Amino acid sequence: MSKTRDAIKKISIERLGIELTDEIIDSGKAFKDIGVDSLDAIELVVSVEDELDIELSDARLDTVENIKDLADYLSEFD
Amino acid sequence: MQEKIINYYEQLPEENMFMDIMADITHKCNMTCKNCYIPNREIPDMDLDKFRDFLSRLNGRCMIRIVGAEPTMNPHCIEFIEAVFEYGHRCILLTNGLRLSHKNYVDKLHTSGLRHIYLSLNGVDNDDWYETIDEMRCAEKKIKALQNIRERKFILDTGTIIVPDVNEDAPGKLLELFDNNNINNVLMRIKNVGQLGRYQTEVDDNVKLNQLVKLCSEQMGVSEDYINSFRDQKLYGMYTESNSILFPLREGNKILNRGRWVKITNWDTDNESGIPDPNSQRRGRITENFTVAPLYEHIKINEGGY
Repeated sequence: MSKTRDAIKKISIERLGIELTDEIIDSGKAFKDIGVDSLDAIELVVSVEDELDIELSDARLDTVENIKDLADYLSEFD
Repeated sequence: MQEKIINYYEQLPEENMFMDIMADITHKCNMTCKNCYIPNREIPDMDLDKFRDFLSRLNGRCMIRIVGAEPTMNPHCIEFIEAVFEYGHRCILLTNGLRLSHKNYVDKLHTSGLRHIYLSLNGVDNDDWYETIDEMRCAEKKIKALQNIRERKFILDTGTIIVPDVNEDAPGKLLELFDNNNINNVLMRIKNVGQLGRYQTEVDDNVKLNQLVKLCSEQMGVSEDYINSFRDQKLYGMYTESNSILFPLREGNKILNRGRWVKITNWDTDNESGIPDPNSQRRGRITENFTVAPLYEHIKINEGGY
C-alpha cells in the first residue's frame, strides 16, 4: 500500500476525471499519452501536495517527465 | 462598418470549439479601474441554474474562467465554482483580490475545490501606481490577498497592465514582491493597455510588444533574444496566440511549468477590426443567450452592454 500512489489515483479521478491504475502509472507513458495535459499535470502536483501536506522540490520536479517519475518521487514521502 | 469586419458567431454549448470559456458571473465591481473592458455595471448577474445547464451541455472538458467585473461581488460566486467542478470542468477565478485579503474567503474558495487564481496586480506593491491606474490605494489588500493565496498553495497567475510613464518598472518590482513573499511558482502576465471599453491609453501612446519584451528583459534578467525565441511557440504545448509570448525565467521542466513564468501579451487594437488577436479560437465567452462567442469579438460588439 502506498499512500502517495493512492493520492495520485484519487486526485486523478476526482479532479481530472482520469482513472489511473498501477499498470498505467508503471507504464512510464508520457502525461499527454494518458490524457493529462500540462495544466492537468500542474493541478495534479499542487493537489497532491495539498492532500498529503508536503512540499515538493522544484529542482526534483524538473526531472519528472511522466507519471511514473512523479509516482517514484512521491514514494519518497510514503 | 466595424461589425462587417468582425468575424462574429455563436455556438451552442454542444458545438463549443473553445478551450477556455469566460463566464462573466456579475458586472458589479468594488473598484473603478481606468482600464476595464466591460465597464457597464447595469447588466444583471448571471443566472446560476442557466449556467449549470450550460455546463451540463458542453461537449468536452473546458477551462471555465470565472470573471466579472469582479466575480466575488456575486453572492453565489462559490456556488458557480462548485458547479464547474460538479460537471467535470477546470476552473480559474480572475479577481482584483480585495475580498481575498480576508483569509476566511480564501479558505472558502479552497474548500470549493478551486486551485487556480488569477490576481490583478497593476500597481504591484505601489499605492501611487494603483491610484493612477486603478483609482484606489489598495496595495496593502493586494499583498494580503497574495499571502493568503500562497498560504493555501493555489496555482497563481498575476496580471499587470503596463501604462506608459506610470508603472514601466513593474516587471522588476513584481520579482521583488515575489522574492519578499516567498512566491516561487507563478505565471506573471504582462500586457499593454487594450483599447476596449474604458481605457487610459490610446494606441499611438501604448507600450508596444517589442517594448514589453525590452522592459521584461532589462528587469527580469533574461535577454531579448531569449524571450523572442519563444515567439510563435505553442502555449502550454496546445495552441498558438499571435499576440503572446510565454517563457520561463529559468530554463527547466517544460512539462510541469513550475517556477516563475512570464506571458507577455499585446492588447493593442491597431488592426482593422479594433480588437486584439482577431479570429482567435482559444477563448470564448458565454453570451446573454448562453451560447459561446469568440471573446474579443463579443466584447467589441457588446461594449455598451448586452
